[in-house]
Amino acid sequence: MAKKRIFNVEKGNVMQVGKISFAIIVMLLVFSSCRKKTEAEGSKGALAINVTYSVDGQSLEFDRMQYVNSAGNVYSVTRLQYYISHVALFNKKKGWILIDTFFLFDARRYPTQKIIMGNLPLLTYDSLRFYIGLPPSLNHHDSLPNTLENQEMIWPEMMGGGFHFLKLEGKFKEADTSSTISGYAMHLGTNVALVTVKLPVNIDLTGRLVAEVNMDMNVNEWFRNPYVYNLAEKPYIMGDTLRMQKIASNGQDVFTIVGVN
Amino acid sequence: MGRMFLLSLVLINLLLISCKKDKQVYTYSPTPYQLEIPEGFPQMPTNPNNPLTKEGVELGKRLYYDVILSEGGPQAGNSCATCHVQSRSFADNSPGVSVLPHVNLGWGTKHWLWNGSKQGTLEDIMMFEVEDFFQVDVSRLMQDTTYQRMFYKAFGKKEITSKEVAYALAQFVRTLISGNSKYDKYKRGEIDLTPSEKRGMAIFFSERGDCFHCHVPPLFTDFDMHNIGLDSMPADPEDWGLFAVTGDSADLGKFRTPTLRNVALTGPYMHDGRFQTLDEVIDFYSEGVKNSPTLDPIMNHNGGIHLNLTPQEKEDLKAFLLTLTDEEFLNNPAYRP
Repeated sequence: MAKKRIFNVEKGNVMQVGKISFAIIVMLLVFSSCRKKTEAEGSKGALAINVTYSVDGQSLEFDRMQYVNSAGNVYSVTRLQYYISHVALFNKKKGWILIDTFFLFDARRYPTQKIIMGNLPLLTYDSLRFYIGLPPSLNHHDSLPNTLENQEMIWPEMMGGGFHFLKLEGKFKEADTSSTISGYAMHLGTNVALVTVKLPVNIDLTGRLVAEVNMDMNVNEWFRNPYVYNLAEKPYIMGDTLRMQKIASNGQDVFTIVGVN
Repeated sequence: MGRMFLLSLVLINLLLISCKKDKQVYTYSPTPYQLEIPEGFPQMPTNPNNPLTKEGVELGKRLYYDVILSEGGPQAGNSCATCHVQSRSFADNSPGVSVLPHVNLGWGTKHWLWNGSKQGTLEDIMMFEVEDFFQVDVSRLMQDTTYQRMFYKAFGKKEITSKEVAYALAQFVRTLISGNSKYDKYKRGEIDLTPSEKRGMAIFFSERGDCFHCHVPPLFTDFDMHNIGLDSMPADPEDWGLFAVTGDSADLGKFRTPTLRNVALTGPYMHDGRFQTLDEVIDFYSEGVKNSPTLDPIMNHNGGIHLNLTPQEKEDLKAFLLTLTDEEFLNNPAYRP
């Protein structure tokens, strides 16, 4: 009896040990699975964007009167500076994931400029969205670091304050046959001229930590769609809300994705 | 014998004392120099290879005012201060000569000199001044015991080169900060401007005058190169500006934007000093700008290249420009020899 009991006890113990072992294994598997899931969710990746410039397929070359826009103006570019901010990526399950930051671009100084944004969930994304300019929360004088570069982009208080979103400047002739060369300055600023850009893109961050997107700005798009802008109509638009909004609308498709690595 | 021994001891002692006097011992323990950056100014770029020290600034100031820099060279008899006079905001007071004022140069990171022929840091441009402009004979400095001591205290070196001379000058020039004018006091809410000054400020910071794009506050320069339309087709190479440096036709007539800090005192104006007064400068922007293929696009105000200011607007703009005079800077004893 005692033996049996012992046996039973032993058997029971064996069974108990078996149950406990099974439970531990299950729990370990669950924990392990949880840990893996937590690691996957906790790990963060980075997105690098390389920005280049062109004019309808030609690489942008500064100071050269060799480009023709949709209005038939022959023009050059002498300055191209702008902010990109509020970059966001779209994941089908998570929705828009915002990378709350801003970058100042100077195409003359940096014909190719790379920006890197980290802390991104390792997911797949199918859209990229950002502002050309600064959102209202950043568009006031004390919102950006006090650097020489940001100072040069300031939009005077008496014209509404904040920063220039875009400075696109150069020289133009109304038509190829024109003899008069004038200057133009497409300056965007104030909240009414904020440009939203949304681009379809396949970014897969599930198998790697860094994805690289190559993006090109076609300068001619600033003058093309939906408004064909003739620079002779008004070559200087700072403070002209109506015309700034036209150029801002055109700005929605100045960028295209030319590659994802 | 005893007397002779004592006498010998005394003589040896005297000799030793005399030797000690000849062999001076300098210490190298530089004291960091803290710049006072005016409110609203960007942080000044620093050069990690040339940190500011009291000893370096003091040495730089002595060199700045000393004609020893030019002895034996093409600028013999001149020091930096000959052409950069404090009471003129460290610009020139010689008739017909126009130099860029040495004010707030510590923020300069782009082009140097009127035609932008030099690039780099403040140390780089000071190196040009030492080696090319003054052609400093460093051996003359090392024959001077005061300089020997000051260079050692500033840089810890007994043997100096052009580099240490340039670095000391750069340190002093970095301290030449003007940021306490009437305009600055107004921005800080300490005082008010007159109605005329305010109207002038409105012209300056709006499309009416459109001065702010190049004369970017608070430094009132963008340190960049622009063709403002002084000549349509300049024949004299002195008027070619950056073109004379790069050979690129797109650079014809481009000159560096001067700061407008203390502008009332920095005349004559433009690279060649062609305008004697601020009135002449304002008249030029109002009615005298000449078109050319390289005229800066920003000069194309609302379809025209002339501001066409009224006499009242001209007066107001001038009144605003006069608020940029910083008496504290012009009379700061720390900048005097």
